[in-house]
Amino acid sequence: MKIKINGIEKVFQNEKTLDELVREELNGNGSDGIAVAKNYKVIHRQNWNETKVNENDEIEIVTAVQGG
Amino acid sequence: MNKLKIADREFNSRLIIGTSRYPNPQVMIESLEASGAEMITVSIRRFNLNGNGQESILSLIDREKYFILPNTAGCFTAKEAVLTAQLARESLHTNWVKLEVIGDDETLFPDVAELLKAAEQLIKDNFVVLPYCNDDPVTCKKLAGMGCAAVMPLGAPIGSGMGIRNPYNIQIIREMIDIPLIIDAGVGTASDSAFAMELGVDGVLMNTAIAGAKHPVQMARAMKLAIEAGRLAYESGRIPKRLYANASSPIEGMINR
Repeated sequence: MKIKINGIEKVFQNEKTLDELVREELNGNGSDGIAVAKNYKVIHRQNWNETKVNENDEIEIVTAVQGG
Repeated sequence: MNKLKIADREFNSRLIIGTSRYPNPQVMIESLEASGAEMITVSIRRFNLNGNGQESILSLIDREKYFILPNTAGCFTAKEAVLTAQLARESLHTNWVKLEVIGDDETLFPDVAELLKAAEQLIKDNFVVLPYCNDDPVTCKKLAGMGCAAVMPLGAPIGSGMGIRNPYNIQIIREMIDIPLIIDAGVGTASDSAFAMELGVDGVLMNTAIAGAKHPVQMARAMKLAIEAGRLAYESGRIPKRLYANASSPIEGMINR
């Protein structure tokens, strides 16, 4: 399954939920302050577990950073 | 001095500052402290996965002390700005947003058409919208009329340090709209801030003027004092400008008369 995460293409063998994907990508970092969009739509944290990641999905995993 | 009221919040400080471009995090923290600011801005960017994004700023900011205003910096369309605002809401649990929709890479001036579109959509989605805009009274009136919580016209291009390039437009905007008016962008030094406040604006938002100064912490304090002085002067009611002299000492009792 080919998807884009933060602009970078990745290939996964198995199906995943958004929650599983985000945990893997965060790689031990806490998810405090993290927000996620799938195909240009914000997915609320409480729905990550029920949201399946599909072929060609574009996922954005963002946080608050320095800014003016 | 009165407090700054925006939407359902009140602030003692009329200085809003950004968190970007400081020499290091410690200087940023000390500058925020010296500025007396109660509201600070942040951006929303891709999280640093595998060294390919940004580090979160949240561990550096005391959220009991500072109210965080996320911006939509880097957005060029209403669609991008609306999504960024929604991501910011999700990330920070706030419905406040500093709305930026940029029309040009060199000047970073707003794309007014896309800005108005984004503002309308976000207001419908229950956001408290503080739009960064041109010093154009017509646009400011439209933004105020549609329900923005403030208008934030630039003094000069972002990071340019040129000060208030068109004080006459700012005065017109002040006369035309009742909602809070915040100068956002272009301030270079303390006198620019004082001048803005003397025009009757409600606050000043800046980042580079402090972060890029030789001594940011000192400049943050200078800006704090300038904004207080400018506001106090405005509330004190200055004398009118005259073409000719108006003697300050009495004429009665002069010798040799």
